[in-house]
Formats: sequence, structure tokens, C-alpha cells
Amino acid sequence: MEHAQLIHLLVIGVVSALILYGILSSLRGKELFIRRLAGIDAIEEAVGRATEMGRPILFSVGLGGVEIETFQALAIASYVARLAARYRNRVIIPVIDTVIYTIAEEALREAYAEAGHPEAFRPEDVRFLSGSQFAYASGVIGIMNRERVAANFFFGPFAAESLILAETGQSIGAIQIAGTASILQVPFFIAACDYTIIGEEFYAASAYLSRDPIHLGSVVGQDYSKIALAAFTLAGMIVATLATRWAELNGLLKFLTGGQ
Amino acid sequence: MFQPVESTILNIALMALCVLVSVIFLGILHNVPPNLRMRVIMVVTFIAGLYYPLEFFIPDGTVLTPLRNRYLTPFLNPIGDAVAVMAAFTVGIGITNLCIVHARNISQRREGWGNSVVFFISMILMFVVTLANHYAPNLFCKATADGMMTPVQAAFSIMFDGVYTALNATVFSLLAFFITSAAYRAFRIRTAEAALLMAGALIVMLGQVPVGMWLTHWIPDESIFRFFRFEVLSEWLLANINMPAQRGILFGVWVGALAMALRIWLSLERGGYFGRQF
Amino acid sequence: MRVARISDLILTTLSRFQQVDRRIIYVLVWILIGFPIVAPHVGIHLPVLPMYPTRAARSFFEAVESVPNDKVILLACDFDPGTLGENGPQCRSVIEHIMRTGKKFIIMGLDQVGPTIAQAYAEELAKKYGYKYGVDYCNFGWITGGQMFLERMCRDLHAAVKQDKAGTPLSEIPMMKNVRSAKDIGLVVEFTGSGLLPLYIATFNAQFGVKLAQGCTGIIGPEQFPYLDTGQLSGLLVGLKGAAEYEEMLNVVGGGKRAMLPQSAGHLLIIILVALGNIGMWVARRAERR
Repeated sequence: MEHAQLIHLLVIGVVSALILYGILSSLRGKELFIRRLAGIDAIEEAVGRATEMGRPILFSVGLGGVEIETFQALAIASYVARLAARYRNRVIIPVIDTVIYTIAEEALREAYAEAGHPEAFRPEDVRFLSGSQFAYASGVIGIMNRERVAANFFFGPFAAESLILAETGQSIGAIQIAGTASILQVPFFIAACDYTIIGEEFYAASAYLSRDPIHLGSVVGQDYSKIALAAFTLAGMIVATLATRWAELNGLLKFLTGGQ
Repeated sequence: MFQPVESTILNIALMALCVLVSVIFLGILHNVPPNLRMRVIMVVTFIAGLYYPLEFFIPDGTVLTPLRNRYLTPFLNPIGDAVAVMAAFTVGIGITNLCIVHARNISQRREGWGNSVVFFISMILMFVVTLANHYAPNLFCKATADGMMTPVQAAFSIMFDGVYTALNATVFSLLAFFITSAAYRAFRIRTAEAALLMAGALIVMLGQVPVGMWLTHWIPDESIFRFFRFEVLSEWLLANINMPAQRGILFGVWVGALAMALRIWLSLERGGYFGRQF
Repeated sequence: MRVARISDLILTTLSRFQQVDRRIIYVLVWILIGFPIVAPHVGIHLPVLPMYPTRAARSFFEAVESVPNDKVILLACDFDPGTLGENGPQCRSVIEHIMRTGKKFIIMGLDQVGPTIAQAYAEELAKKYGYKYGVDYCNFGWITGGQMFLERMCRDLHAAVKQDKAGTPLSEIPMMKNVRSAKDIGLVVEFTGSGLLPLYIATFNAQFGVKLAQGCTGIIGPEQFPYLDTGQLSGLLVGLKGAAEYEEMLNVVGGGKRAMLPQSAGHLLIIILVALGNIGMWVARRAERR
């Protein structure tokens, strides 16, 4: 099957149409509902606690480069920075990518300016550590220990270094909140962090905080798509089961499975 | 489809022409209003992103199939080569950015500037030794006996196997310590769900190691109680409890990836950092 | 009275287990995992524990055995030094199996370092089985371009790859004369610690019907089971245990089997610590209620 079959085209078409419907509805001004996530309250609590203790906050945007997950992590970082900037608390953002370094520096500067304290912004709080996964992890745990951070935020794409970061933060007594779409790292964050935003909630959280209509519409459109896919799966399951009894359904089954 | 031309002068002329066209194009883009620039980017992104979906999604046996076979499929290799060349340039961009950031650290004597000096020394050393190992392994002397390394090969082996590989593996191995301490601290049975989780974890952990298998090896392989052997029970948990959950998660992941691809292709990310002028 | 004091002492000691200093835990891990690894080098011979291969590992073994002799096996070594501990023994034992069956294979990788590591294994085993580079195996090296490039490889290998790792054109490599596309590949085996399997499923398996097998790290193992269930994966080796299972089927003692004792020790330590932690928690709670 070097090229798609008709059924693949139909499924992709329906799923894409639902996603685009969500986005276009949102752009036209339709109010889309996303429930308030408990993780957002935890973010505010963590920033508050760090401010009370007079110690800085660390926000890691993960291993990603110029990709959507990293940008959505930066949107949450901006929110955290605006909260922290109100009380002139520091937010340290270590990054692994040089392009993200530039964008993170700009985002942090804007957050302090919006909060009315541009003078509190320190360019050296955005640090490019390394392009390598474990060198980055070593650098971050060094920052945690030297700066004695009170709150850690881990948002974005993570890999094996997730537990190294989270466990080190645990050992220094920092309150930790993680959010990642990297499902395989979620168990490690759950074990070591105080609050974890899991998978899809990460996209929903960044859409909720940024109130960007495109992100909001995309999240809602994806929900519609998943319902459609579940319905399609159920239909296929029913046809496959009935086809064992009625051979006439084999043609339909072959169509649904793309001829395989 | 496109065959390489064996002519140095023509190749140099073509490269110079490409550089000239790129400079002119970038110059024009730089000077036009931002709205127009954005529209050009949107159109180019849309057209570039249209090729692969069209080539793959036009099914066999339709009126469009001959057009696909004639005008789309033959371009797979040249376009793939072009993408590979662009990807190769991003490696260069990455290295350039790294050098700029570290050079700034050194020139401004920022905190930790000594590490940036170490970066430059390490990068240059690794670069030189790797090139020498690839192109001139016998630079100083030939290998004297079978299995003996030349000084260049030894230097590469020390830096790659002895330093880079060992450091990478060492930091990764920290996970063994952290997993143990995290598991000890986090796995406390306070609810019924936690007890269920603990039982499942215990079975899977013991099913992964020979000691666990040995604990239940006395259950005969042919008996109906074979199910209770740790490795069988562990496999059942992974294949029947874990697998449907993973499949559900996969649905969400790939729908999310499709949504992301659609937003980039249709340039719908203009609200975020993509649309900003830096 | 004495009994009450002794029982209080026991209960107090048990309740302390809910907060063991992490440094003690790290030392225990270091000793229990380090000792079995170091012991053979100082003349202490520890037993090699027997392994019982799982269904997924046996399927992997059969997938390699059933590759027709006129087709090659593609080893996609998508791992780096960080996951060498798990993917390394898997890769080595599969290469040994392939050489035993006399089949030809190609090494490549979407990671920079994986193909180099696999090449070292192949060169070492080639001396034992009489394999020659270029005739029985070759190495394309690091491949960039992700899924797009894999699709191009499937359609026209020579046009996509052009030359091997050393720069030799594929047309000059004897074994590549009859290997032109995915139709000439009998099995793709991927070794990885990251989620690259969907790229191979979308290209080699879904589009061109080539069988796939994977050796992955323990962390991503559970994620691959849906593909095993649907038949998109013909076999799966998970972590060091997977390598040990494969070595058991090959009847060799390699890195996988040797690592089973320290791995067993590590798992038992975690289980004992978790049990002690819970016992300490319950005892402390009971004491508080009293």
C-alpha cells in the first residue's frame, strides 16, 4: 500500500475537518468551554510559596527546540513570570536550544514589563546550558542546588532526564509542578512532583492560560475528533464481529481496513 | 530524475547564482511591509506542505492517479534531497548559534564564562580529532600490529569512548539511584487504588527478572495454574491492561500531532511566537 | 513490662523505616548493583540465572529465522550511548543470530552514534562467523531526513542512500547489487530508546508490507504493546531482560544475561524498601491513633 486508500482519506478528512471547525468557530468569536484545571491553582500556589520564602523559581521548558510543545510551555512560563514579576521574584529559565533562548529571554522581559517591574528583569536568569540532554540536566540540577530554588516548574517535552530533575528538586524541598505531553515521563513526575498535569491537560492548560482562540479551538476540535475516531473504532469492531457470522460483510470490512 | 552534472565551473556558477538569488530574495523580503512578508511565508508554507499529502492521499484507481504518478511521485527523491540539504544547514545554524552564545558569555564575563571557554576547547578538539580519524588516521605513524591503534585513532577513542560515551552513560545511570529513592518515597499504600497499583507493579517488576521467575518456576508449565507464574501474569498485565490504555493514549497523541501539523501548514499559529518579529 | 518495652522498641524501629535517609538508599543501590558487575573481574564467579523467554522475544527470534535467504535484514540502530546499556546487548545478540543463520544485513540509524556502535559489534562477531564487509553486511551510517528519507529508501534504496558510511557508492558494494528497495528487505529491526517506531511502521510496514521487530529500552516497552497486538510488530525485546531472553535462545552468555543478577538485586531492593516504607507508615499511624 504505497499510497492511501479511500478510507484513509475519509478518516483524515473527517478528523481534520473537526479540528478546523473548532479553530474556525473560536476565531469567529464563539465561546468555547475548557474547564479550569486544578493544576492552574497549583501553579499560583507554588509561585506564592516561593515568593513568601524569598527564593527564586526555576522553569524548565524541556528538551524541545522550535516546536509547538515548547512554545506552549513558554506560554505557561510567561504566565508564571507575570505572577512572579508582581512581587519582583526571580524566574530562572534554563534552555537547551539557542533559538528558544532568544524567545524565552524576550518572553521573560515582556512579562516583567507587563507586571510593571521592568527593572526586576535579569537577562542572566535565562540561561542556555547545552544542546545535549544530560549536560542540560546536569546544568539544571546545579542551578537548583546553587540558587536554592523554592519552586520548580517542568513544562514541555522531556525524556529520561525528567526523574533526575524532579528528584533533585525533591531533595532540596522545592514545590514542584510538571506538565508534559511525553506520556512516558509522567510516572516519574507523578512520583517526584507535587502536582502533575498529564498529557492532553498540558495543551488545555496552555490554551486556558493564553486564551489564544486558535489553541482553544484546536483543543476543542481535537476532542470532537476523538469522539469521531471512537465511533469509527466501535463501528469497525461491530462490522468485524458480525463479518465472522455473515460473509456478506467481508466487503465492507475490507473497505474499512484499507484492503488489508 | 535529476542527474548530477560533472562540471566544476558549472556547479560553482550554479552555487553563486543560488546565493545571489537568495540574497536578492531576502533583501526584498526584508524591505517589504510585514503583512506582505507574512503572506509570502504563508503561501510558500502552504505550497510546500501540500506536496506530501497530495502525493500520499491521492488513492490508486481514481481519475487523479495518472496525474499523481506523472507529476508528483517522480519528485519524491529530488525534494527529499533538498530537504536533507536544508536539514544539514540547520546543523550548521545550531553550531553557529552555540558559538555566538558562548562567545557572548566570554566577552561579557557572565557568570560561568569559564564553562564557555571549556566548550570552545572541547568542540575544536573533538572536531579536529574526528576529522583526522576519518581522513588521516595514519597522520603520525601507521599501526604496527593488528589491533594496535595509531595515535590519532587512540585520541579519538579516548575522547569518544572514554569521555563522551562514558559521561553520557554515567549521567543516565543516575536514574537507577533516583528511581529507587523516588519509588521508596512515593509508593505508599493509602487507598485501595494505591494497593492495586502496588500489586500490579510488584508482579511486573518480579516478572522482569529471573529471581521473580524462579519464585514461581515450580508451577507446572502445562497446568491450568500456569497463569500465576510471574512472567505469565506480568505479560498478561502488559498485554491486556496496559495495552488498551496505551492505545487510547496513542489516539490522543496522534490527533494532537495532526492538529499541530494542520496549524503549521495553514499558518494558523500567527497568534503565538511564529508571528512575531524578532 | 519487659515484653511491652521490647515491643515498643520493635515498633519504634519499624516506624523509622518510613524515612530512611536517601544516602543510605544510594549506598545500598551502589553495592547491590555494583558488586555483581565488578565480581567477575576480581575472580568471584556468580551464578548466571536461568531465563524463560517470553512470547514477544520468541516471536522476534522466529521473525529473524524466517527471513528468506534472498532478502536482507535492515538493522536500524537508533540509539545513543545513553541507552547503550540496554540496546547494546540486544543489538549484539541479534547480530550474532543473523550471522549464525548466514543472512545478510545492513546497518543504519537515525542517530549519529548507533551505527558506529553496531559496526563495532559486527566487526567483532565477523571474525567468529567469517563475515566480510561489503559481501555479507554493510553500514549506511547516520541517516538524516526522518520519515521522508525512510520512504525514499523503501522506494529506491540506491537513489536515497547513494553511498555507505565509508563513502563507497552502493553500486560498488557486492551485496547491494540485488538490494534495490523495500521489496528486497525481509525484516527491519529497530533498536531505540526513543519513540521512532511509528516512522518505520508508517513506511516499511504500512506502505510496503515489510515485517518489523524492535529492541527497546524498558521505559518505552509498555508503549509498544499495541503494535505487537495488531501484528505491526513481529517481535519485541524489552530492556536488558529482552537481551537476556534472546541470549538464552542463542545459548550464549552476553551482556544481557550477566546484567540479570544486578537487575534482580536492584528490583528486590526496591521491593524491600517499598515494603519497609509502608510497614513503617502503618506502624507509625497505629501508634498515633493509640
